[in-house]
This record gives sequence, structure tokens and C-alpha cells, in this order.
Amino acid sequence: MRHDHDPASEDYRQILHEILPQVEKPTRYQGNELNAVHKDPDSVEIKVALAFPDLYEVGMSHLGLKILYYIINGREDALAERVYAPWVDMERLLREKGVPLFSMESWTPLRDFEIVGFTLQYEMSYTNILNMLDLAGIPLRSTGRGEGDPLVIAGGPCAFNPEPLAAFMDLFVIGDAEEAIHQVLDTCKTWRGRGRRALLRAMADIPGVYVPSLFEVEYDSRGLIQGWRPREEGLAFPVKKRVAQELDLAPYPDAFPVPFMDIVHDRAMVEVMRGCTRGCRFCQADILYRPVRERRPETVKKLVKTLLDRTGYEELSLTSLSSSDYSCIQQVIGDLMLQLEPEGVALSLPSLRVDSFSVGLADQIQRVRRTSLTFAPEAGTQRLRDVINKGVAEENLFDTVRAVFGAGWSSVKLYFMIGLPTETEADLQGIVDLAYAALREGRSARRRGMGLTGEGKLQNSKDPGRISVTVSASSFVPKPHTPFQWEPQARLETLLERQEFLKKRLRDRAISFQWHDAPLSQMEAVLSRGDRRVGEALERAWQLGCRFDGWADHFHHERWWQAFSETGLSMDFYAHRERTFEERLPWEVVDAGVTRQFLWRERTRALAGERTADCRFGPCPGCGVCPRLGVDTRLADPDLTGRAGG
Amino acid sequence: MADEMARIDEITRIRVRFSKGDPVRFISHLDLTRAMERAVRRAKLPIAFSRGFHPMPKIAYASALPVGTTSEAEYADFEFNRPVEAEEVLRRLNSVLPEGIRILEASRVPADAGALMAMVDLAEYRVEVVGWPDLSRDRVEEAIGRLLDRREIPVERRGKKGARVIDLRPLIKEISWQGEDHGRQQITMRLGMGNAGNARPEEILESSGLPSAGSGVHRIGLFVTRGETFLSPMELKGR
Repeated sequence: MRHDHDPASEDYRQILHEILPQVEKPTRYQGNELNAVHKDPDSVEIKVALAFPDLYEVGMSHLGLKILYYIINGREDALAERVYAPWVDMERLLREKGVPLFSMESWTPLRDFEIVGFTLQYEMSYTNILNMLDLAGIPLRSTGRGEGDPLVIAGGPCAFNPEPLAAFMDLFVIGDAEEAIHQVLDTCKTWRGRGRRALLRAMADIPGVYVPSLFEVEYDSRGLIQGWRPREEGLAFPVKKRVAQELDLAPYPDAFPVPFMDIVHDRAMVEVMRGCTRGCRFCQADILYRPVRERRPETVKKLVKTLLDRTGYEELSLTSLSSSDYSCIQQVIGDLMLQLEPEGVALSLPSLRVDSFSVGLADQIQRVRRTSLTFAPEAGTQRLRDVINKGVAEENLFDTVRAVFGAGWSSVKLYFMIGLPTETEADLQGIVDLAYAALREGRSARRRGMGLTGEGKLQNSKDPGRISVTVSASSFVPKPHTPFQWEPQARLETLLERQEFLKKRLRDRAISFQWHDAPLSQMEAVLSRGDRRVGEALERAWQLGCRFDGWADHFHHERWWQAFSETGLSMDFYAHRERTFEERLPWEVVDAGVTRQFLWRERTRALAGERTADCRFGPCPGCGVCPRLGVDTRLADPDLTGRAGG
Repeated sequence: MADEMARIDEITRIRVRFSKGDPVRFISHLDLTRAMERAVRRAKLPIAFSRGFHPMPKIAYASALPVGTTSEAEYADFEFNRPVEAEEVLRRLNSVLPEGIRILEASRVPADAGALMAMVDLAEYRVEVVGWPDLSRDRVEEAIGRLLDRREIPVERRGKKGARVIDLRPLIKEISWQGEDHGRQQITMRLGMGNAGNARPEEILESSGLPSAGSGVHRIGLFVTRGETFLSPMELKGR
């Protein structure tokens, strides 16, 4: 899209009115939801477009952007508006009519904002970022942008390897953005209009901010990274992640925009805790969000009340990476149930730990409509669960399943990964055995239950008493900053064979088996551990028409393969190659707080099948986060705080 | 919830007329019901819940408005398990409803009044016909006249069970030209709805050979036929 073909701003508003009835779900673009913030754009100095590079339904379910929306709109000198990736029908009409991509609230073109900020939740939404910039008429590459163009910034978990997007972003904010966003806005106010280069240089002085254009990457003859050469004096390198130490005092939205249409997670959410130190060795979030910080129960309850009062939601979720680990979970749930049950508000806990304590929590909160509970044993044998440090003992697992069916649920979902380091056929057989064992447990619980007449047992509106087990197997993707960051991903053929192995053996009518598209997992592996050169292939893939790659119907792996071959890059090099301890890794530009020595030690322990304890309940494993970033674990239960060491 | 075996005289049923305006024209009926339920919660009104696995607030609508159509004549019955004044329901809901949805009237009806959806059998629409620069009142009235002269007006409906043909003619109660505004011809239509079948304003325009209504279909009335008279649901106090 080119500027000179754009109609005047009054005209394109009229055009938008005309094209809205022609697209699927026009409410995706209207921006008039309850609690949406409409500020006068002329009354502020800094306008920020918060961009989520996926559909409205997905982006509106995400908590991080709601927090930033609240913080920025809380400032008198700034406003934040939302923008999501337009679906293919809307994209076609925008291009046809020459209308630039606009924000939801005021239908302002994105290029008229001072800052456009993308959240990076998933690598496979990267093509949508390029597409949105292009639709907005903003030059794709940082080097192509001039004085009048917005500052294009990004944050979120995928920003911990910023390199594949280095060419397209002016800067990245690494880690918790609650405080950093104020500094970015203040710096923008101070330095705008004094030259883009000066502005970026000033931004680079903010802790946690990485300005890729200020560094040049050097490669050796084998194509391995030799190092980063700073283009200016005095630049911090690597960039340390930001940590909101006092989560309990951190700003939290008092209202969410309430969508009219159905979205993925349509409910009030209160983040009870940030971080998880269980230490699963495949888990990137575990490392990125260390250390654990909890909100106090009083704060949680106050936030719940305000949010429900302002939204009217019929469901509340207590969110975190593992809410059954929240130290005051029992107390908070007890208090909330008393308040919420008479009001007809349901409570939900995502990502339950695999143990009977968690089943007990679920039992407390799901008093009506018991359909299904989900657990993630991740691997089929004890040996492999020890390798990945998933703290689930075989006996635990059976206790959990028994407790689930015993308490009246008729269906259980079990999540596994295939292609984990050291995996053998025995581990795959272990998944099969667990699925059948769960089914047997369920059926025997049903027989016991039939003997009883107790109410609330085995209720299933479709088929009372029919037991079902769902097995979901995703393919392991090695992630930056984890103990498995050096590991090769299993080859495509291997993943497909292993899926086949499970498909053949999980044929019982009561078991349903789901798996992930292997070529998609391979692309995730390439992008998540990619370097700056991968950005070339990304841009080419977008030119070849890649969009919404995370959506099965829209993922065309052959276009990606073409893009890599045309840019002379090898997917093998990024996905399937084992790295050495000495190799410089692209994401070394970011310091997540955890030392490389700790990650390597964890990798060694993994391969030896040795477990490592959670620092909240055992000795400090020496990951380095607390001393290196000057932070510590904060638990809400005062009795536990002493035990959790830094 | 066993203690909620509320006696019939404790149940308060409030009937409201509300509008669905331009800002919410694209939201579906399901979206609207969700928005209304959340408004009731924000308003802290003592709404009654259904029983069963999935308790739902007891709000019953007269009809589902098609996506894209606006209205000033939507009706719903709210059931409360504590006494509450109609005026208070109106005021409290309006203070929390999203832009585009407004309660216009509220009044108490007997707790055992019949279901709105089963009673309403006539809808009135105001339609703006646009698209032809030379469209005059005469041409519109001529097209309407020819349509009304037909004995049968078969149209095809596509549903989940395939296509079927229905006759619109018996569903047309009245069509008349109303006025002109900047070259847009305004028509009102009274069309049958409910158990006997629904006629859609767009189908009427198409069958009469007139251009489409663009974005201009607006519902202005819903009625219950009682002999020769048409009563609005607000006028129906009894059964």
C-alpha cells in the first residue's frame, strides 16, 4: 500500500462504514465495547497503538495488553488504542479501497500514532506483524522509517529472542513492562522531533530496552555468530530483562473492554501470581518469568470485586502459570466461592497441576456441570518425566485420575509432548498405557458410582456415565533460555512416525487422540531459535502470501520452505542442529537473569535423569535470577516466605 | 438452590421495550443476550436463575432481530426473585448498558404471563430504499401495488436442512410509502412473524423489484394481534 493512493481521512471513515457490512463479524473492528477507552487524540502528546498480531477473538483474550492499555490510558499525556490483525476478508477490502490499517477506538490510521507496540506471544504470528505494518503504510524495516513514522516496538515472551524480528522493530522491551512502558513514553516525549537516531539512542539507555539497529552481528565462515558489534558508545549488552518485583502493588486493570462477540477466553481474569519455579526443562515461561511473585489474597479479592462490578462477567479465572501453586489458593477459593456462587458467577483455574490437591480445588469450584478436567503429564514414562523435570510420580498420576473420576467427572484430557530429548518407543508406549489405565480407572469408578445413589456423581448431559479420555500430543519445540536450548528438534519424519505410532495404538472409541501439525512445529522451532538472517526468510514468506500461519487452514509449509530456499537459508541449521556450549546463540542479546552455566547444568542433569527441586520448597538450585537481577521470591503466605530462598 | 423455591407472588416479572441502535447493529442475538445478562449483573438487579446444570438468568425475548437491522421495538421479560420497581429496572439498566442498547419503557406484568415469543405475531419495519437516482414516490407505489396484486410470492429459504420455498403473500399485512428524505424513499411494512413464518423486509423489496435497503432496515413495532386490533406487548397486561 502506498501513501499517495490513500484517500483523505474523512473519506476512508466513510469507506469503512460501507465495508463493515461486507465482512465476516464486523464487531471485530468496531471498537465500541463497554469499557473501551475513547480519549480525544488531540488532548494527548503520545498515542500508542497496542497491536496484537492475530484475530480479535484471540487478542482480546490476552491479559498483557489489557494491563498496558490500562497503564497507558491512566496517563493524562497519553492514550492507548487497540488493533488486531484484520481477517483475510477485511484485508482484501482494505487493500482494494486503499484504506490504511486503523485503530479500533477512534479509527485512526496506525501511521498517525507515535508508537505502535506489538505483543509477541507466538512465533507463527510474525507474518501478521509484517502484514499489519504493510497495511498501515508503515515501512517494514526500521532503517526505512523516517521522522514522521511511528516508533515500532515489541515485547512479550517471544521478545526474549528478538533477532528474527530485528530488522522490523525499532526496539524491544524485554520482561515485565509495567514500569518500562512509562520510561519508553517519557523518553518518546522528550526526544521526539530531535532525530530518529537520537531518539533510539536515548531509548537504548532504558534498562530492558534493546535497540537492534545499534548493533551489528558478525558471523564466522561456518555461518555461526561471532558476536555483536555496538555502533555507539556506552550501550548496555546484553540487555537485562525487567522484573516487576512488587507484583502486589503493580497496576492492574479495574475494567476490561467487554466484547460483544464470542472470544476465546471471555471472562474476567485476575493474575494471582507471576512466575513458576517448578523447573520443567522444556518450559520457556519457567525461565522468563522467574522469580515467583504472588499477589496478597486481599489484593486478589479486591481486584475480583472491582472487575466483576465493572464488567458483569459470569466467569472469573484466577490466572498464572500454575494456579494450584499459589500459596493462598485454598483460602482465596473458599472466600471467593462464598461471594460468587449466589451471584451465579463461575470460577475457573487454568493449568491445573497433576495431583489430587488440584482435583480437590476443581471439585470445590465446579459444583455444577462437570464435563472435563485437563492435566499435563507431558511424558509417558517416569524416566522421561525425570528427564524433563516434570514433578509427577507415576502413583501421583493414578491418584489424580482416580480422584477425577471419583469426584464425578466423566472425561479427562491428558497433554503430552513427543520428540522430547532421549525419547524412545518405550516412552510412546507409556503414553498409550497411561491412556488405557485412565480409561480403566474411570470405568471402575463408574461401576462404583452406579452402586451409589449420591447426587452429583457422574453427571454428563450427553451420555451419563460414559467415560472418555482425550490424549493430546504436541511436538517438542526447543526454546531459547531453557536447558534444552542446545537440543536438536526431532526431524519431521521422526515426528510423523511417532504420531503414527500413537494413532495406531489409541484406537479405542472412548479415547480420542489429537496431535499437532508437524511441519508447523518445525517452523516454530526455526523461528523461535532463529537469528537475524531468518528475518529475510520471514519477509519472503509474507511476500509469498503467508498470513495467520498459526491457523491450520492458513498454514502453507511449502511457501515457507520456498522462502527459506530462496533466501539461501537452511531450516535444518535452525531446527535440527545440536549446538555446543561454546556457540554464541542469537538470544544472547537478552539476559533473562538465569546463567548459561545453570542451564547447561540442568541439561546435564536432564540427560542423566536427575531431578531438580523447586526453590520455593527445596534448596536454591542457583539459577542466578535473584542475585543477578537484585530480586527475590515473594509468596503471599507469610509462613512460606522464609522457606523460599533467593 | 433448593431454598429458592420462590412462591409465585414473590416473583417479579418486568417487561421492557428496548432499542438496538446503530452502534450495535452488527451484534447477533446471542451477543445481545450476553450483553444484557452482563448489564443485569453490573446493575446488581436480583435476577432469577434457571435450574439445572447451567443456571442462566431468566430473561426471555420476544424475537431475535436479524444482524444488521436496528430497532426501537425489542421486548424482553426479566424475572426477579425479589420485588423491584419497573422504574428502577429501567434506570439501573440504562446506567450500565453499552452504547446503542437503551431501555425505553418498563412495566410489571403478572408472573404467569404467557411467553412473549409465542404471542408476538406481527412486526413493523421502516425501510429506506436507496440505489436508484431517479426513484420516485410513484415508482415505489407502483411496485408495491403490483406486489400486493400477486396471489403468491414464493421465495426460497436456505436452512440447515436444505432449501425450501415459502409464500410471503399471506405474511404481508400492509406496505405503504411514508415519505422522502434526500432522494431516499421511506416505506413502512407490517409483516407476519412467529409460528406462521417470518417475512423479511429485504425479501419484500427484492420480490417487488425495488433496490435493496442498503443499511436502512429499522424495526419500529412488534405486535400481538387480537381480533382486529394490534396490541404492543406493553399493552398486554394479562395473559
